[in-house]
Amino acid sequence: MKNDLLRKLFILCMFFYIGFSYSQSITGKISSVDGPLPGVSVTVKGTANATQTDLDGFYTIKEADKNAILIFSYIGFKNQEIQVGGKSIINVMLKDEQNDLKEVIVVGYGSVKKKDATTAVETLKSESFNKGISTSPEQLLQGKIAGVQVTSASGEPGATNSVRIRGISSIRAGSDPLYVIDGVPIGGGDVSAGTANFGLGEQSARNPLNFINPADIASMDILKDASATAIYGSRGANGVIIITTKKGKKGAGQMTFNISNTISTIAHDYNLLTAAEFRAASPLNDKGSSVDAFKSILRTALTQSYDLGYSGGGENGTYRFSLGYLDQEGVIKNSSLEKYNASVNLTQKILDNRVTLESSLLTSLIKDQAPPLSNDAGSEGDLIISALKWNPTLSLYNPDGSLTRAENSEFNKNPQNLLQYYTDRTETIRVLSNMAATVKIIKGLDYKISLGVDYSNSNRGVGYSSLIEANRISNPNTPGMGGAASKSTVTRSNYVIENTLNYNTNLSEKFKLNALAGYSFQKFENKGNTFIGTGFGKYTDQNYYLKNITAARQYATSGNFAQLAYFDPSNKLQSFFGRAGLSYDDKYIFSGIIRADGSSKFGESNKYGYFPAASFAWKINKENFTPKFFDDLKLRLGWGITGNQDFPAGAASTLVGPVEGVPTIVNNGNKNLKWESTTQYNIGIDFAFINNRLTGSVDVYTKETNNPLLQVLVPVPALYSQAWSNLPNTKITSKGIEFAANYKVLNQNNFSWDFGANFSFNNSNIKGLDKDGYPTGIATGVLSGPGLGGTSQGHFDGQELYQFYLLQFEGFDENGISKYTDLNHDGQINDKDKAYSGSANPNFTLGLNTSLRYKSWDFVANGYGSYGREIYDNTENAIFNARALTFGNNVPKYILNNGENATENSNAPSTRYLQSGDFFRLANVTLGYTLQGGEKGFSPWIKSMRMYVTASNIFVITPYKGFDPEVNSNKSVNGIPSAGIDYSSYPKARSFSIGINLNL
Amino acid sequence: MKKLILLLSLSLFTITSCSLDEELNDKITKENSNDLLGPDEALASAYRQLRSFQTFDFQFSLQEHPSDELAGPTRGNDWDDNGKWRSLHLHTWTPENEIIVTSWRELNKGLAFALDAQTYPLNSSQKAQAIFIESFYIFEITDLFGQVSLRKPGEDVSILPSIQLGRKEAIDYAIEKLEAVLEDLPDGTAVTSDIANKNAGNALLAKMYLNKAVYKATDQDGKPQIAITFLNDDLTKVISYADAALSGRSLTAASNFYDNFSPTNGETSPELIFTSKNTNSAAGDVYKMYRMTLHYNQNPSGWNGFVALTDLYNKFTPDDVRFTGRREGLTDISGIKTGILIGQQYDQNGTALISDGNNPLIFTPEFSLTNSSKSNGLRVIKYIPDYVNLDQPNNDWVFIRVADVMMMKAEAMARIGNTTGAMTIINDIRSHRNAPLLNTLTINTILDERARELYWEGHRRRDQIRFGTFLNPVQERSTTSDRHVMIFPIPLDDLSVNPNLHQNPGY
Repeated sequence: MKNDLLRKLFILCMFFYIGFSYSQSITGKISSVDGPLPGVSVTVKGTANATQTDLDGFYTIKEADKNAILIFSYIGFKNQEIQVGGKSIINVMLKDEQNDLKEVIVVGYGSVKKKDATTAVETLKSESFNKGISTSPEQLLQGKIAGVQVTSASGEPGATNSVRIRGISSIRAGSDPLYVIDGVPIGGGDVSAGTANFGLGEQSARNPLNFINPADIASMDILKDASATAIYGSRGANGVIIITTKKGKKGAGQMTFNISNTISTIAHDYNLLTAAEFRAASPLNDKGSSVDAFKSILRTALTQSYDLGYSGGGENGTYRFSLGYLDQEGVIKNSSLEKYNASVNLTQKILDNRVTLESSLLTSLIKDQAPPLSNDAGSEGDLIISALKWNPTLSLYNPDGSLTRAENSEFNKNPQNLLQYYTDRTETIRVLSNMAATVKIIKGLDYKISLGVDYSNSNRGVGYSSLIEANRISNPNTPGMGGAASKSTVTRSNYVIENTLNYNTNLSEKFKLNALAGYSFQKFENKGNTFIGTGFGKYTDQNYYLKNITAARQYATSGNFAQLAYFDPSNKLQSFFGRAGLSYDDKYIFSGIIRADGSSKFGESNKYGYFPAASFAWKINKENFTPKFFDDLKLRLGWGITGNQDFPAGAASTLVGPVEGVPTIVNNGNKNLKWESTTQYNIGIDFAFINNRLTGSVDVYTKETNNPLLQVLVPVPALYSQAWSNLPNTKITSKGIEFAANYKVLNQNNFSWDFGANFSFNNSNIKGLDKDGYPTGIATGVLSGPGLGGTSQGHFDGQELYQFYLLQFEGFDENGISKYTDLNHDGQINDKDKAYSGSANPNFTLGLNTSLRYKSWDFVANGYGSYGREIYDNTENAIFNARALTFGNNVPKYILNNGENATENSNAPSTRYLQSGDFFRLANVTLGYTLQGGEKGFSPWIKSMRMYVTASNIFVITPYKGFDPEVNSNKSVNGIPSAGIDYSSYPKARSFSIGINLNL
Repeated sequence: MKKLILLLSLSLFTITSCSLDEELNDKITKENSNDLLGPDEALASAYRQLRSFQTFDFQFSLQEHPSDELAGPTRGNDWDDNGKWRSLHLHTWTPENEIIVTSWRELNKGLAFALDAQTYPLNSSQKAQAIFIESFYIFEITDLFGQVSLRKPGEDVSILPSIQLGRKEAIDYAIEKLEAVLEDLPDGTAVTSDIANKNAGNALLAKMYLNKAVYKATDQDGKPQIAITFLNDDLTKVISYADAALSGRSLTAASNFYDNFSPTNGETSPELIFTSKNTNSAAGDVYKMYRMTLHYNQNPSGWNGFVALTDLYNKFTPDDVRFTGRREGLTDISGIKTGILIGQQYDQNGTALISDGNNPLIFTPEFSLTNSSKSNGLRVIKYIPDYVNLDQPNNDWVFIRVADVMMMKAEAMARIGNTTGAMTIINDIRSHRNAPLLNTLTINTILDERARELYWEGHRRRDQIRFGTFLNPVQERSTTSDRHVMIFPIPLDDLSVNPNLHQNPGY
């Protein structure tokens, strides 16, 4: 259709050419996505006739022949040639060169053109990021990249996300990819402190990646396959995400200013009984009022966000400064995140362009506030549990305005009391900076040195007023602790020095070589302390406790609420690495990587690990036999070995530390400790046809992790029952297929429409555990709540990872008692009747997105889904059953008449609480309208203004009954993370934003 | 160019300045800790490990839940815990039971610390104490699990333990080792009962000789044998070791019985022979002993868990000080009584406490293992809550006390045939507890007296096995159990890492 159109246009032009051949003057406006472009040179092709655009991007060129061709060029943008064809006004939208260089991918210590890439790598530019409120970079790529699964732990502002690239290759904590931010590989682990458990459960740490302002990110490059990640050696097994922040461009200074305001409300909740329904169902517990306790802890949350950026550059350097402010409220009261960002990016060429200096500095201050929410609240429950089960006929307030105390207040806590008498505030400062100098030694040979520092300091204060309804702190009948407060500090730092030599040369006309050699040294430190005080006497304001914890009368030195100070062993990593790329005739490209990592963490016998990789690409479209139909067709083959060394420093040595002041051996050392290694094979095809309108890739991979690192059981008697060790016989295997495609349905000047889709299948399983001391598997997924406490899932020999292992629920018998399958037919229901019940790990994930541009309008929609996974609703298990109603607790409507005995049935964990977690989410939809500014536009001093509305989390299609199927409460056991368990998780919000992007 | 040179030299500097030596910061490697971690510290760690007995999560529950004096009922959704408590009471546990797994590991951890201490240059007294602790753990592991693995000094955990003992050999090994160093143990008094002194050594030997016959009795099929043949030689040793253990110790006045469990028991009770020390700044989990049983509305607020069986309750005469009574420092603060709590509960002012709704908080003897109300079941207070610091109480944990040793002696005498001598001892105890004196005595009288004296202190399963009543039905367990439950199973994962261990028959 497009070709047809062009042909018609061409004929039309010819007609004009024949009929009306004369010179004319042409005017127009040149702009970029960001607004009008001043200083663009406009030349009539083949002549010296040229001009430049004015400050508002307007130009007039005289005496241009009507069949002349105009060339528009501007540094940093792609040249564009347009045939005059008799038009007198030609407006041009210049494309960002970088945008076109979309095809350039950062691969670690360098970059390659996408068309030359030999490995499975993908890049995501800022314009393709997810829209709406984002507090951390992972959210920007959720659903965008095949094989990258991002799962948010909950809907809480600043909650952590788990990112899994190509399934799971490790069963210990440490399955997240390596993040490299502006060249600095950052350490894993929390940068903020957790809290002590005073009965309402422990509160989790915050997402360590919140510190980056998403508005500062220019691109994210995802290295999925070992033949790419091997350049990061012992940290590459889970994939690598390279984040590059925005830099200035040559040209006059440009200011961008973004404002957005967002309203969020809860997207979905449990369909609880209303007061009237409760009264009818449980008349004995009728207290005469009508309240919605769950609603009482919710709010319509407002979020404001402001970003200011100023960038530009001259012949020898560029600059970009930015400021960001985000004030995000959560839909549950007292939960919020406030973030301040400032960043500077500079580049400067000196000594006749022989040396390039670059520096980037990212700084942030984050203030978090949280209500008493927890992943492990026991029978007491936390804020959400308390609100969900509150008797809807019992008023929250007494007639005098004071807070009601429920009967059995040890279990039934007034949610308003928990909100009012609890304070949890965290302040985290993080600074990441990198400075680099690149020296051109001779033609083709560059030397680069870079120094990076990542420093964070986090302070968390948690106060429980002596008036809070937490049994250990205050109880109507006992003195309790009389208030409690904890103050924690965590300081982490990371220094890195890297030296690389890069050599590019043409060995012959057809042979091209690119070689890299490098050395890096990195050091990580982690220290902190916690100070806990209890017994605040007459002081009842928990905020005061945090201001003056010396008001406490007790400070335990051992036991549950002891003071804590630590300075973990430093972790040092010294590496030598090299990469060579050789291409022949631009058809065959070979790349090889070797990295040697020496780590202070490894045992004496294994100080250095070696990680090789090789990959090969064949550009089939360059062969003569390939039909012209293909614009691109490339076969990629890759193999590589990568490692994972995410275990605590010091685990290799037998250590002595004070226990109650007495020097004591504190672990079982293991001198043979080493990284776990993952071997990956990848076959992929990149394709493009129909004039590059349909582009995409297909990848098939298999990964096998050997020597997985784990705290394993040692034969007793032993000082400690576990030691860090590599399991010799266990293998974790992931196999999968990824498919990604993008189709430009329409690609015209005023009207373009893109459609993108990605799918991935993955299966990760584990074998050999029985030979390594785990015949019954490695259990995790501890359940919480009254009477609950065992584990619900685990990793079992020959099974998919994160397999639920449960009693098989068959329904209720005639007495309303739960029936379970007696699998071993011994007439008893016990542990031996548990069966594998499905994995929490999805088999199939997909992402769909579309973008449309029509004249000044733009529209984007993104969705993603996940299938073949189970979720265990621990919340339902803990509080939603027929008996709860008898006790005067609220339940969802589906509990009524479910056939369950209301006085005697037990809520033993079983498949009763296991549900399909399949879902598809329409994640965000944005509609924008851009007004062109400038002298002839709506405002002389504004280059352009875009106004937009975004709706986030518009709907979710899922059979899951809980708040949201995308959930991952932390129910880990002995450092083995869980997956797919929902306990008292923070509900997700649905949000509507309006915003303005200004270019000045 | 200058900058170039500067940069190059800087890079050379960075390349040469790095070492991969560990910077351990808050820790020190064992190799470098000689001036810190010596004999005193290693022995202190072995002693500290004994605190793991104080919680209900481990051995305590294995000795009590399967017995005739304690149970853990499910209340509503509370205390179901995947049936781990229920299966202990019903004798239907599996090797996966969390309490069994953690008990096995904790006991072996304690054993490892005792063995590790012996690798330091201890003096003879210290060495004897470390061996005492080793013997103590071997005895406990033998009793519960029937198999003991041991490492020789310096054996690394990466290799299998070189010594593997069945229960027949293990008890002889423990006795032999302790007897060899008995004379090296320090002299001691009741106030220093947290040190393994000569009294403690003699008492432990008496206890091991008394139970030895149990571990020698194995049926053809490998299961423990119900009928036990006690050897007179062993029983004579029980009597002589008991006499030695009691030297310098005495029973306290009836009114002071609960001094044995008070926050200041270590300082005030004359009856203590071997204890584990707690202070308000460094304590084990002895607080769980009161929290595990008290109701939420009592002070301290409890977790409303475990209950006493009527089998225990029915054994008492009304005035017995061990049964129930008021105590200064407890009842005047909270209304809580000592011993078995039954019926309406009150606060310190005599106001009746309430439970669900406005129902009075009345502890009833009846309870259902699977479906109890919040007030079903009798509660027990032996360790007196320390109101100075409820979560880190000063109460020392009592392993062995005078009455226990006296009854060991009485039992040995009765088994030899000297019932008169046995009755004299039992009556001596009863007279100190406000209980009427007995006129006749059978062997089962001693078992009952042990219940009255030692209930909820972590002895009952062992006593019932020795007296042959362990498999009998009790409240909320209606069937007679199979013999194999007299030993607990070895956790499956441990079997798999150590092929020299074998699952106990019947599991």
